[in-house]
Amino acid sequence: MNLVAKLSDAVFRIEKVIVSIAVLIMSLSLIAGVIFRYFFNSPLVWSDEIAMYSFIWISFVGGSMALKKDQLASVSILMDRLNGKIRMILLSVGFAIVLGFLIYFLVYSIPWILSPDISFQQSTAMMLPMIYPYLSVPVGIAGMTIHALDLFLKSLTTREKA
Amino acid sequence: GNKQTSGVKGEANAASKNTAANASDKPSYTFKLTTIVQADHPWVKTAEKFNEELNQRSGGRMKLEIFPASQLGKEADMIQQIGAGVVDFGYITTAYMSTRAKSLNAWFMPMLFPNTEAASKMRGTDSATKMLALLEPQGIIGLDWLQTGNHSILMKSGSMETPEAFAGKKIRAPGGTVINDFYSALKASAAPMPLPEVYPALQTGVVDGVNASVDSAWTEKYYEVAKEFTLLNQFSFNAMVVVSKAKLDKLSPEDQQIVKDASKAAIDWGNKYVLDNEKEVLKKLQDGGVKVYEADNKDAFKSVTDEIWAKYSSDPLIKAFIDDATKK
Amino acid sequence: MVEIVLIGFVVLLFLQIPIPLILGITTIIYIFVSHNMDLLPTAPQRLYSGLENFGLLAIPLFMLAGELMNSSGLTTRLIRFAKVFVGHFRGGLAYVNVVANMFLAAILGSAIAQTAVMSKVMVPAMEEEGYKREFAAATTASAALLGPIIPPSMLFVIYAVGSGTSVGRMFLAGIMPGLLLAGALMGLIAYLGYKHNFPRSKKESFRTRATVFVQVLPALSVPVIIIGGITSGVFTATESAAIACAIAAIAGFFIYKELKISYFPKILVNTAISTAAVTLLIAMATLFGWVLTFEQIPQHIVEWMASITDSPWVFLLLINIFLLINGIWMDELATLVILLPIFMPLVDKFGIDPVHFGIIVCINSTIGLLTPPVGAGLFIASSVGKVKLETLIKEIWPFVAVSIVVLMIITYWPQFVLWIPNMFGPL
Ligand code: NA
Ligand code: NA
Repeated sequence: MNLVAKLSDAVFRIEKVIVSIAVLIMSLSLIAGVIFRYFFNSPLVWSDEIAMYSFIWISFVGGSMALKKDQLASVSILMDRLNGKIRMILLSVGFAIVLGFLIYFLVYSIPWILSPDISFQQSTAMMLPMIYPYLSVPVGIAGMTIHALDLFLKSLTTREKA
Repeated sequence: GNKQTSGVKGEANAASKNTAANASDKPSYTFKLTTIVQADHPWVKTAEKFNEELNQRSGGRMKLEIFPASQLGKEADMIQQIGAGVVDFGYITTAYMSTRAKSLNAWFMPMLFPNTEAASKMRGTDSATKMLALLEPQGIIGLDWLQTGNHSILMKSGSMETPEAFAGKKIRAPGGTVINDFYSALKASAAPMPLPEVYPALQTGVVDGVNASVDSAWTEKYYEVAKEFTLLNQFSFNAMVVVSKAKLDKLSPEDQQIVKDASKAAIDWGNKYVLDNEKEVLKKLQDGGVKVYEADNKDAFKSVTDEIWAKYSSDPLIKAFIDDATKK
Repeated sequence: MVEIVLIGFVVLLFLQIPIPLILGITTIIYIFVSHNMDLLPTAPQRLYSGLENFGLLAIPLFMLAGELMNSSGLTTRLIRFAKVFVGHFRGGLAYVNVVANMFLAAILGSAIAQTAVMSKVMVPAMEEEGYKREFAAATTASAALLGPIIPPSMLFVIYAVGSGTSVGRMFLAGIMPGLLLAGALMGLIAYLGYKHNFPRSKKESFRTRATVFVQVLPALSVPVIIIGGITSGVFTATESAAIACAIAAIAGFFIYKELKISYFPKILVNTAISTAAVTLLIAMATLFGWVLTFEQIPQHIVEWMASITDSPWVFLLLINIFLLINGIWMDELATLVILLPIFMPLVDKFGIDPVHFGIIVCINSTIGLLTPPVGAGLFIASSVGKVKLETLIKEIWPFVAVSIVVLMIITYWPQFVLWIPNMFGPL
């Protein structure tokens, strides 16, 4: 269990690096896009695409971070009114469902990313192989799965203490 | 044959039981067709025609649910869904298909067709038919080609009858290698831009003009903010009519034939509709105050277009396509 | 079939499972109960492509601009600016709160971000001058509603992208309703101020006012540049968000000189997490909407609604009531994102201007932030402002009532909303 917590924290540190770089690339390429089109009268064909793919990486990897940091919207109306063992059991059940879903989705996204269908695809402007932006989905879901496992295990031990 | 129904259409099964007794042992189908264009686009009218034809030719056993306006996702999603057999038919733009099969860029050879009608006549040629098979390894069978009007050049102001007119102009065009090659050869810049931004960008002058069909100049209301239309016919745009291989293989040979015949009849109708519609809309544009230039001095662009045709002719299928198009 | 999904959705919601994941889980449940198992392998693709939309880039960019501005000490300057101009009226600091929120709204795009920033500063400041703490928190939470109404706005971006409307036009359409809401809130404060004899600050000298005004200029240039840039054709709405970031960074480094390179790791990570909290929801809602569309559920709802009424006014009334009730317990963004695919065919059917409709649903779902028991605005104002939720709720209802009146005016007076966008043509 300790191992899972450590793994989750390590993943989070890697995710921080990924999203920081992606936010920088996204903003700088868009600003460059405006400058080149407006001031140099020569639009950059790649700026919009680079920015968009960075944005998608931010969304899935950042989504994983948001799950760990409890930043995703949720309805706490019932849980706030419960306490003790019942609350802990219900929370654990919730995390178990989330974990199950994520594993299930991960299982489906791996054959998807490896399928020949993906390798045929290129982006319109840069001819970038689409596997690079697509990869954000399994990477983000994998991160979420690790964080969800950590949250689930923590919710179990919290119940034992209660 | 309950298992053979498309999707989960229990109602379709029930319907089949109610049809004529001699048809009751044959399966019923509710197919799904998907396309990116809005519900009022000629392609959707063609799909409606396809539904009629299917219904009629199958004695009521086949019908079609139409999902326009990317309701089931982007074209990348559509292709995947059709490949998996979840969705049965698609009118998928050749612009998108060309990112998966390079030879399809043949359709975008600049100024290959003097008008939309010439482009629609490519339907039966050897080279165009060969292209329909290009996506079979991906589980997609091409049935036909459905045109939309050729793209010409709609500017805020100015005619574009000479290559010189293009220098320094910012023109919104769908991304794509050939299209970018064409505009950069003319020293213009092709600005990619999401569709909802095109009208405001034209209006405020983020771009000087737009690469547009007669139909889109009207339906997207570009004519309100861009008043000079040069009919260069620089690019031909169309859809590949596709069917899911997984689904087609499940049909009996007789039903396969019904589907193919119904599709052909609908696409015959659709291509004619597009041509008639284009004439009508062009008149509406002129009545709406758009100045239209019939650009027949295409020789002026010959050095530019020859160079691009030559560059892409290294692909034998593109070369064959250019030959088929120019020999008429 | 739909019932199973609805029940599942509510049960999962009560288990406090994050809404984006609930959408994913119910999608899978629906695929199972509708026997469309072939959809599963294509689900990851659909999840991805829900985000492959250039317009959505405005979300992280406005978030980043907000983070940069906050780290530059902008908020305190805006409040100081509002204070020297309206602080000397009775209930002065309450007005300051609204006015500062109005200006901050022109830089930030979200009510939540704004509530957090303003509660931290305004609640203690107002308490110090003799206001009840809960009243201070209520004023802040309601004035923060201006955040997503006065452009730029995250909600407007999401609506525009989901409905195929122009972002620029939505931004322009938010100006009048934003000013109306600000005016209405100040009217309420004026009334309460005379009733409860609110305190006032002393009037500042012309010299102080001038200095403070000059200091706040870079911040005020952001909305001018955004609106000016969009209407003059220098850049698109999405690009305006990138330009706002550039201005924020330049102002922070060179004019306010409070922004430091060492702040950046935190700024970038915060931007990514708060962006993803929104966009993951959009991605998952796309997946959910896709499965619904596959079964033609939205089409059935359109037919059903059309059978109830053929009057757009009745339709808008029903939508408003539905959204207000829904806003009582559900997150405003989630509501918008989930229901958009169902709403848009109806808007088309009833011949309503999609920009007008967008303003209505965005304002309506924003009011939901203030309604108990589930209201993110309430929660944040209560935790940051350190006020008990129950006492805050008692203070907030007059503000909610006024906001609903504003909503009704906006609903039934489309020309008021569309006046500015129409002035610039169909942007
Ligand atoms: Na705002
Ligand atoms: Na609420």
